[in-house]
Amino acid sequence: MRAFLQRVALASSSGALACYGVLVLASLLGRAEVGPQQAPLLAGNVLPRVAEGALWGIPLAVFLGRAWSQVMLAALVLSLAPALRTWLVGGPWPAASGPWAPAWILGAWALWGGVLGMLGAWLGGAPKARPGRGKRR
Amino acid sequence: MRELARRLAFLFFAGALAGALTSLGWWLLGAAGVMAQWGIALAPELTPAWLESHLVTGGLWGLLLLPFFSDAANRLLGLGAGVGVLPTCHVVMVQWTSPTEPGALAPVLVLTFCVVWGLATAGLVLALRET
Repeated sequence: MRAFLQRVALASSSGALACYGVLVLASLLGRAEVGPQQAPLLAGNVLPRVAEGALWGIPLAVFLGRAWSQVMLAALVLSLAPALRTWLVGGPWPAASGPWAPAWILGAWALWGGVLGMLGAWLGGAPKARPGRGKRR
Repeated sequence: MRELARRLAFLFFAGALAGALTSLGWWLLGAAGVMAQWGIALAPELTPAWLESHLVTGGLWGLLLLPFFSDAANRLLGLGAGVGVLPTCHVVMVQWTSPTEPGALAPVLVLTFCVVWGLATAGLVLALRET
């Protein structure tokens, strides 16, 4: 029970940090505006999105402790869910518009998934890949 | 390095979860009409944005327990309750224009909820950390 709770905590915190990182990057690229009058990195804009990242990161807990490649793959696949939701339902972030909106949304969430996977694998203590037969010799 | 990052992740999660739970309690108190009865004009509406912002701020305040992460259970709980005074000060002194702006009892209620948040955060840290 404790081990699973720890994994949930690690996955959730990784999701939050990954979302903040992507948000900072997106704001640098000028794509994090939620409205033309709002500055992108005010607390009112950032906090709900970081919380969203934390919540979407929780399912990764199931995969923590496995090999790096598996955690990364799981994180990238999991990032499709919020991307699809943002695209179909419209979420608070990323607020992209125009013909490239799906690409921006998918790209931002895929980047989030990549960072989430790396952080999760590192924090979760993923076992290092064993050397192949050639290297053992 | 990794151990420090893990501790920070545990503290953020514990603070965030405690923040979400105490926020729900705060909303319940408002929805039940208790705040209006006590003359406190702070009853919030339960919206995702409101809950999410309390979740993250709870997580950030929870990081203050980092130096005490390995302390004994009783000490950690006491420090958790003590740390709860800081968000109270922030709310009362920074967010409000005067300490009794939303009602005379408002600071007491905020302090109570922040102390409960601190205790819950410390309790969750105890549940998360290796003994």
